[in-house]
Amino acid sequence: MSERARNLIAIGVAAVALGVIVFGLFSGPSAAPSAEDRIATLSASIRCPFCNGESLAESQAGVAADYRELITERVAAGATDEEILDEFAANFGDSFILDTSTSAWSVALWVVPILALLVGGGAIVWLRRQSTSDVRHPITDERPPTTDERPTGVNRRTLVGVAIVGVAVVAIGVFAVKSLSGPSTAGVEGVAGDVATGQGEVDLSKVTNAEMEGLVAANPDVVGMRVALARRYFEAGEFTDALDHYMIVLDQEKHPEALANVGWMTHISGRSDVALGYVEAALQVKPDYLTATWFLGNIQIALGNNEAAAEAFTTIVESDQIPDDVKQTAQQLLDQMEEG
Amino acid sequence: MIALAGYAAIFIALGAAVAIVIQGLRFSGSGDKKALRLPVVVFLAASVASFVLLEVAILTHEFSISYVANNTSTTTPIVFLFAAGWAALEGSIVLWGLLLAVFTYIVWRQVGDDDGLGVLALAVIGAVSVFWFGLMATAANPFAVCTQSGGNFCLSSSWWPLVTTAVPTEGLGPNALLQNHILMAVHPPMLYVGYVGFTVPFAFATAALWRRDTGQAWLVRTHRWSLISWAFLGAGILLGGWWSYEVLGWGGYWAWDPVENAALLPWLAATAFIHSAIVQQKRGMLQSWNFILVIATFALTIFGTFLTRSGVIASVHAFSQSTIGPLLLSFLALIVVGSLTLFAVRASDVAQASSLESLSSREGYILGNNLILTVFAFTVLFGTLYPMIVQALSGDEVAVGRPFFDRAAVPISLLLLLVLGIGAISPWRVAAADVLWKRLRTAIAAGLLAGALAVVIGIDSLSVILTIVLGVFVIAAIVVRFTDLVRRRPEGIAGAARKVFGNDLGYWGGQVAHIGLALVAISLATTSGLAVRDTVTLAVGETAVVDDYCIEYLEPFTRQEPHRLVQGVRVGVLDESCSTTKAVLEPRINTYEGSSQPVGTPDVWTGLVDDVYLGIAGGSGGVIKLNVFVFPLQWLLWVGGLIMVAGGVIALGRKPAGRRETSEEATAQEPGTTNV
Repeated sequence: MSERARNLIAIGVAAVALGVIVFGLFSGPSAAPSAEDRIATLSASIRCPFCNGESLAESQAGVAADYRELITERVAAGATDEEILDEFAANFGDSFILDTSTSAWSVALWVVPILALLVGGGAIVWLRRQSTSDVRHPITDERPPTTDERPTGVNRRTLVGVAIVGVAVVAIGVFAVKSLSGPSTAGVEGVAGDVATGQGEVDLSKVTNAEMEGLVAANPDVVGMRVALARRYFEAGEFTDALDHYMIVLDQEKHPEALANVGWMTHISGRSDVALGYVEAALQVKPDYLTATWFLGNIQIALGNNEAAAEAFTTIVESDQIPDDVKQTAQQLLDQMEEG
Repeated sequence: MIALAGYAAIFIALGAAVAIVIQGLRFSGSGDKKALRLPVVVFLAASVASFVLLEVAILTHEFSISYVANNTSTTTPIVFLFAAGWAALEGSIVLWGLLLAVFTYIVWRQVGDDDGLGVLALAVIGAVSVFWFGLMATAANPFAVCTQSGGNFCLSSSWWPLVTTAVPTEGLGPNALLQNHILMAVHPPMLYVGYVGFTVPFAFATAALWRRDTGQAWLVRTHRWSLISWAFLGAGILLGGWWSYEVLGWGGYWAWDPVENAALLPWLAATAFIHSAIVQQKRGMLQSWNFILVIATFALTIFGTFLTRSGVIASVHAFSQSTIGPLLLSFLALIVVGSLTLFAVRASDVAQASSLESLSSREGYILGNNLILTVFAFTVLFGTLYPMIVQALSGDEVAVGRPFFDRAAVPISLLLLLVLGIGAISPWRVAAADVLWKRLRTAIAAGLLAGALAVVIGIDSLSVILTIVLGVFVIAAIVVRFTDLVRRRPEGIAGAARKVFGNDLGYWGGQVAHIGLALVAISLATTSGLAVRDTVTLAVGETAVVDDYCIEYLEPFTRQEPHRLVQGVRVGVLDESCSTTKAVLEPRINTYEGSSQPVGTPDVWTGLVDDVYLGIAGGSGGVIKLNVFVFPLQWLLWVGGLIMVAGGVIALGRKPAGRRETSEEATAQEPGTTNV
């Protein structure tokens, strides 16, 4: 086959194929994305609260499933993608929206890499210009540059090197400031457990109470989150706020933690008789709930039921999941009761 | 007892590493490798001992060691016990140290008799080792003994081994996610070989700069190290994606998670480096650029470790955060500032023989792709750090996630494929338009034809079509070039093919990797652009149709295994008419002992075209809610990735020096270099 024939065949096939592609892609009305596709895209565009930076699409945490469900409902209700993203942004803050295409900050995000590409492209063209005079030294030329070329090379490249070092130092400085001043993520393990309805992967340390209030208000039916918020108040001794949220939780379900902690707060407020009912209810829901058992023991002492208290403390002492100091306290209480 | 021995091993290794640095510096002038024998051998022996002792402690359930108590238990299956040796922070550094020691020994073996460059490079590797073993000896001691038991874990531990130990009666077991799939035992070591391997090219580069020995010697001698590390890093990333797909249950393999990005970054930089190193070896260009790239690659490996271990970024991968963050950051700063300063000071000594005769030439296209790869890496790095930069500058909180990276990666990758297809078959120095056309016309037609076929079968996504066009273009260009060369030879086809391939393993290994990349690109496009996702709710015996498949809920099952409770469902995958069963899948949820966090495990059926991927999304009272995903050409991703790695391995067969005809004399004549 002649060169000409090969050229013609190649051009012919390419032209027809290109025609088919262009016609196929741009003729028919493009199908609107299905609801499932929209849900997938949306949940990949929203960061899951408390899920270690994962998006709603990726996280296997229960709370992520709850939000995916919410998106599904909103899509089914006819909301547009923008509306749904705006709703999440309004409730969580912009930092939860991974799709930054609508934010002002995203301009720099796009401009800088494009600038880098242009600068790099310019450098290559410059390299080409520089070397036109150098064509005489063919392939194997790797001698050091001649002395008269050297000074310019020194300055230029030294400058480039210094500039790179400078940029690196600034970048590392920014990074260092951030990493050293950022809140530690240590110590949140205890809190982490239940928020995502029994799933882990939770980092609450960076979320303020106010933000959590916003989240809870926006999602009144996500029990795990409200419990986590209430627990914060509870652990901080802000019992009024804790009680409000735990009571709402108890309207929704018999949550063992809510029952136990409401019981404890009631006990502290002086109504140990009422408290007893709550803590016993917690233990009915979750018989192996050691915190509730610990509360029960204390409440029984206050009510003068030493036998029942002793039973609770014995459970604590015999458990292998309790820190030693708590065990010791329980043992001391047991000993005291025996003495009278 | 084991703790004490392990502790001793780490300190001996640390001492040996210090000795390597001192001896390396002392003898870099004379290049006397014998002076390093004792420290190198002791370093290797002590590192092996520390690794073996940690494994023995784990396998014998020595719960008096905090690491053992908090990362393993008596019910952990043996393979995950073994893998626990590197699954958490302290252990991973032990493995890191072991690899460093093995590589140090190999480098020492390869060093010649009067080899100043090699001896000084060993000193640099020694200095890097001092850091890692210093970490083990202080902040991340794997043999720290338990001083307060929490029952089935260790509450607090002591750096000093000679204290009264408390022995938990049982261990906590590994993180549930990490013991859910066998790949977890393999994926980290693969990555580590890649990460640690780049220490060697970095060491040779900085040693060469220090000695003003800036010819090709360091490049030629570290060529194989770069290729091997690149291949392992790539394989590690691939395995990570596969693990994510098989285990995590959200139906994906890549999420642009900061830690995933941290592994991709050195791989991109290394890919650029491997290519620009070829240009230097063939054409004597890009000396400075190669120094920058090798420094960047090594710095990015440390950066990746920092991201994973410091906790500055919330990530599912940050399995073991700790206080070593600031130490890693200081080390990273030292590496970057130190080596770039050295480079700046020595810039005038870096030979520059730039003779880019034409932008349209092999070196021109490689340069173009170097730029694209670097910008790709820069974009990923920039996007990963952007939230922190914005917060540091303005206090605003922004998030950068998959939407940005996906959008940025698609045009960059398409451009990369285009330039790659042209560059792969271009001649060096000047590629005239008529030569390119002759070599590319079939490939252009083939690519467009494939795109047209894709349109005809109903694919209407522009990015998918473009990827198919360019992917097939790349593959066809390489195949056409190969068959052209084969036809020109007098031997029979098989003999000629062997000759063509065997005569230039470096080039053809690269082309094999390029074909793999094109296949990976096509799979990335189809699995993300053409996936079908659905959620179905079924009672036993019910069916639902998703895409071209019928899903039938057969029965639930529960199985108690020693270390976990498995709850799953059997689900039939049938053809569209629900008549022929293709497979019975068992998506399940595993609950591990000592963990309240159930781990969903999807199940996948792989057909000729599609993967059908099932994960449990919920359900109660005899009804199951299933995520059903259909991913077209998913298998091509794994196959393409394997082909890429294989290409790297094939290229290892290349003769070490770039220019075959002249390399022997050229290297021998260069002052201060020695042949390997």
